[in-house]
Amino acid sequence: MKKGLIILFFSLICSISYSQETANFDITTPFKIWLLNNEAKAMSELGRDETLINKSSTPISLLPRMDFDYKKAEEELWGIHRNIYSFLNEIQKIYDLAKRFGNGKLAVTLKQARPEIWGYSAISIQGFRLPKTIINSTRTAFFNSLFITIGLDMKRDKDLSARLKSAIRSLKDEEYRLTKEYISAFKALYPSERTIVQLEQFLDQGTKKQFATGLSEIINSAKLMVPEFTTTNKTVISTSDNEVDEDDPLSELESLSDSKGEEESKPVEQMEAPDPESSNIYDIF
Amino acid sequence: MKGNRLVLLLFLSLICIIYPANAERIRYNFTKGAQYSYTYTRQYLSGVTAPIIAPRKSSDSKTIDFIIKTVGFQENAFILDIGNANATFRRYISPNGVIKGAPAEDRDTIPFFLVFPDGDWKIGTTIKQNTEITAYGKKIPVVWNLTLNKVDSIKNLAVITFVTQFGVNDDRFFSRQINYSGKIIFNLSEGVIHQADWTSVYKAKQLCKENAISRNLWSFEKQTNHSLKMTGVEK
Repeated sequence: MKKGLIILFFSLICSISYSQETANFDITTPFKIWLLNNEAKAMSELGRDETLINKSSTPISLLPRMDFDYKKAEEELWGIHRNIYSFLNEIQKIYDLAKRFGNGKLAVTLKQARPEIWGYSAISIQGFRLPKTIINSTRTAFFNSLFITIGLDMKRDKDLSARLKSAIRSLKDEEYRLTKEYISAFKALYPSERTIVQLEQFLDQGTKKQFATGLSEIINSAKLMVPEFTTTNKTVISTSDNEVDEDDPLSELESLSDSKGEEESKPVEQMEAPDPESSNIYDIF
Repeated sequence: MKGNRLVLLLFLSLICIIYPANAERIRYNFTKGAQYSYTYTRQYLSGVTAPIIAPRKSSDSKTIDFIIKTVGFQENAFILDIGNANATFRRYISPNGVIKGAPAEDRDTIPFFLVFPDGDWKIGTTIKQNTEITAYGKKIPVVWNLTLNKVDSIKNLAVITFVTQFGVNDDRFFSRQINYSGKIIFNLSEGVIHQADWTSVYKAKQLCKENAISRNLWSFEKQTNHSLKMTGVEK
């Protein structure tokens, strides 16, 4: 039993660290560098020409010097570009999260391994029954720590499709169209650059259909496991159509996953079924 | 024979009378102790065009008043104190407009000035002056084309127009044009500029090229309108 727990624990840590280390899902940097480079070129040339114009625009030797900081139209364009860079940073974060956790593997691992109960499972095996408030706070602390470690925010990352739509809405319509135009220009200039195709597809398809449902599952699992032990327990359960065992948070999560439909439950189905032996440890709660 | 001489004399005197009307000598002639008041306005317009989005435009302007006090004339240069209540600096300017000295200023603050031709200037003729300007560490060739357009002998005003060409270089990704054109109304009796208006237009285009593919990125346009007006003379 203990060996199994240790193996599960290390496999969980390894799966998280592996996904973080190998996370090279950069789809925006080549495009950003291209745009920044062109912007820098324009700024440099305009600055040089401005020096020449200022110096030569007073052809009469009687004129005094006039220092004049005037408004420049290009500043507005650079302002739009700053919005585009912020937008691209946000897109990169969303894409990164979707690629790292969106396939549902971590959700399934969490469901199977139940690491949030390891801390007190040994005590429980000995026959001690811990108060539900302690169990509740331990689980909350575990998920909070886990989410901080892997860079997840329960509210923000619950629905990545909504986050993507919100990022697109943060740009004005013409700013978004300009971004798409730049993407199209970059794609035409560098047809062998795969990242730009990925970025374009992500922007086009990410808004049309739900993606990274595995991530929602991780967050939902954390959310559902916590209120089960609180006073609002009955209210939460009563909203679910399926019958769930009040003492088993996993059964509630599974019932919720099942009710999400075929598309969402696919990654869960692909995984191996939980070991019946390991599930025994949950029975004591 | 005597009759022929008389005709020749008459012809020569006629040429002498007509000739000054066709040519003029443009030179500064500041009066010692006199104060010349001017208003100088600079209006700046700029625009940028990018794909898809509507062109962005902005405009700004600034006006300053300044006084030129004539301190004296020494070594073929007028000693002038130019400025206003905020700042005054001294320049030594020769009658044709060359700044011979500016002790309070460095090379960057001295205007890139045009020079009136020495001697008589025929009406309608264009004088080409080749010079160069140092900017961002490079010497850029500049050609001033000055034309004495007309002389109003009743008002004693001469109209001079000028066009400037800059030898700026383009590269594969950035092309630009800088043009200057303007008009100076010179008061011949006072020997000072009565009014001057000139405009500088700058147009630039940036594009991206990779192999045989090229895409336009941005177009920039900047126009600066300058206006200098004499508002008074105190002697």
